[in-house]
Amino acid sequence: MGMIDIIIFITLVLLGYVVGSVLERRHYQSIRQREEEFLALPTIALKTPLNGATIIDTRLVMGSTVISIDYFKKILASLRNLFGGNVAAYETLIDRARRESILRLKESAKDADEIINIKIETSSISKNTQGNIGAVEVLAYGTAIYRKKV
Amino acid sequence: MHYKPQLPDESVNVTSNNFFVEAFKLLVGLVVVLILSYALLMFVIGVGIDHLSIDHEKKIHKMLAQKIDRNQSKEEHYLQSIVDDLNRCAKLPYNLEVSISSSSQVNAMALIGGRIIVTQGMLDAIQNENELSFVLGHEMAHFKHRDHLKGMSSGIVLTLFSIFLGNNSSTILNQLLEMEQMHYSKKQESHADRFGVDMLMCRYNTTVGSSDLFARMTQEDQWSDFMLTHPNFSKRVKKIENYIVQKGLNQKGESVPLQF
Repeated sequence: MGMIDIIIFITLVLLGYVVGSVLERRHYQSIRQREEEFLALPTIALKTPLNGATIIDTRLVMGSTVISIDYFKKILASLRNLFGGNVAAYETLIDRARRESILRLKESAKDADEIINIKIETSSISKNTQGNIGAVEVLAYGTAIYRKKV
Repeated sequence: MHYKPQLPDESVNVTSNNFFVEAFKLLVGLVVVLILSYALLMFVIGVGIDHLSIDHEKKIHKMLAQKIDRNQSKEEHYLQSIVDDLNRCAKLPYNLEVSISSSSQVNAMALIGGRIIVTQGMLDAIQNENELSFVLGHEMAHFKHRDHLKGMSSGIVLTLFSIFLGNNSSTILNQLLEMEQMHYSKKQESHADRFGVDMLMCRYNTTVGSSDLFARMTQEDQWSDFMLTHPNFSKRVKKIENYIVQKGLNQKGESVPLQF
């Protein structure tokens, strides 16, 4: 039994590392590409619109992402847990989720002139449960502003 | 208000890091810490055990024994009578108790508080009472030199580790535990062998049967399992023979048949 357990463990770690890093690289590519695409749409944390032109419509818009850690990162983070320090393995996870959420928010309001008062909230899913899946949910929400077209 | 569209600065929120290197470094660190703490605990427990009085040891044994105590079988009575007789020569300050374990491995153990365990496999391998007395005398020597406690300290540390690390690693640790608990140094073993010879002389006035069991073990394949944890039998046989010659002990005589 002991040997089989070890083999399963090593397989999961390697699988997590290989598949996890491929997926992460692809996700970042997609994020960068779409960020350029939506660059023209201002997304800001100000409570008031950028200029005083007549507003014809406002709407609450949301973008939400759930990303899971892979087995390799889970092990890496639990090792980190013993020694303390910067959990770099989780930083990319959170970064991807936040940027993806803002992109989804923008995608949901493509025609808006600007999105103001943006808030970002993060929560972990299935924390502290046995055999947890260790996923993070990031929700970005704000107010989309539509102006009179000149 | 002025607004200029910009892409997010990627260098700030994510540490660029090779995770594989990081994992490797952390693992090496963990292993080093485990080895160091193992060594430290072994040292501390070793020192503590050297100062453990026999009274305290008996108390610990009493606590543990409640779980295994039962009536002795006929064979165990027979072994017990040999041990009691040998103890008239050895004069160990323990109430020695013999138990037979049903394991088919060829082995015998000295456990805390004066308990001797002989496996069924060992009983099957033994051919006469002299050999049996030598094995029992050998185990009694571990009590005399208090080797059994030193063997235990690594067991205690490994048990602590397995508790600390949780269930995942317990299977590997248990195997280590089993191996460690029965492992004494070569010096301790040959010391105990010499004591076993003395015990034979005391009970039978001959050293017949002292090295026969080990000599058979070096010849036959079926002992391979046992050889892994107890190597160097041919060396031990030689050492026993040298000891007998050096002390000029009686090597002649008849062996006593087993009584079960």
